[in-house]
Amino acid sequence: MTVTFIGIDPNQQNDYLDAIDAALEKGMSAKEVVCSITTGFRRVPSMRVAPGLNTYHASVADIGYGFDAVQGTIRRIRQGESIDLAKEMLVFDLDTLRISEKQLRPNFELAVKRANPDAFYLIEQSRYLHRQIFEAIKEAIRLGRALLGPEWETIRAKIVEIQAIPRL
Amino acid sequence: MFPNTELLNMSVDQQRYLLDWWNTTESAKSVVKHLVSLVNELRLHSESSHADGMILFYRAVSEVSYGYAGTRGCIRRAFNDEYSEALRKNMTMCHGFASKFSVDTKVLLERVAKQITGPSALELIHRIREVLKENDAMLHEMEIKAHAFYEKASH
Repeated sequence: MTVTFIGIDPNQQNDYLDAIDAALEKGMSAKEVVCSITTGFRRVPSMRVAPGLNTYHASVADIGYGFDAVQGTIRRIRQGESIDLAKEMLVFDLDTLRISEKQLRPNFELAVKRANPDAFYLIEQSRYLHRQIFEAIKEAIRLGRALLGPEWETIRAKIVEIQAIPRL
Repeated sequence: MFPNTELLNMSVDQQRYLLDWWNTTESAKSVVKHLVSLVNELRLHSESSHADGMILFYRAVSEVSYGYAGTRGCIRRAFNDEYSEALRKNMTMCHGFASKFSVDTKVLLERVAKQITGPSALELIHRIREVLKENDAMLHEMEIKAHAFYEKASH
């Protein structure tokens, strides 16, 4: 049994949660391969000390973490756990994904600026995977906003202070 | 491709061991998702959101998540005709991230826990500790599978 937390029909709530889960699942393999390629960049001589590589790695880790957080929270709700902060968690995680995705590409372009041609294949592949990740996040946020309606913005205003904690 | 990287062939046996490793990462995935969800609940909870060490704590957790995802990404690539010496090293590095940062996560969790007195946040800390034990078990199992694969690959 799933606990409703939004005050809408439980079936409708579950449909939305499943759709958000599925939207992120579509970007899951892209996220995994990007993590693998990013680790590999640390061994490419023309890139390993490039400015931007550490921040790019951090953005990739943030996005991976966000995907896991949303799917983890949805699983807990679907398993019947009642989480007081469920709505806050969903808004926090999805909106943070939006921010991390925005940081991803500029950090990436900085990191690969002086890369040698032998890394071009992986660089192109990364760009392609970033687009898949972006599509997955965009769709998940669209569904999250549709689920919560105007409450999305009210909650976002509340969590913004915690979200603003900068990466070191 | 990576510099000076030649693609390697995988024998049927190696592929079987790699698939076995992959299957373990499937179980690990649900453990890490549970972990991350609980950690974010702790970050948002009013009894714990401002605890000292929280930023480093969740960053360590994000590297655990990254390490698992990277390992899976490497296995995907190995099955997708990108198997090479460089990718083998890459796999080891990703697994290493998950292991090392799991240790940091445990250390930092106890540092964060010291700041917390509220009963709900303490309950969350307790649950995170339990999931971290499951995470250790997963890492151990993955390491066994990784070793089995590497042994097979070097003979």
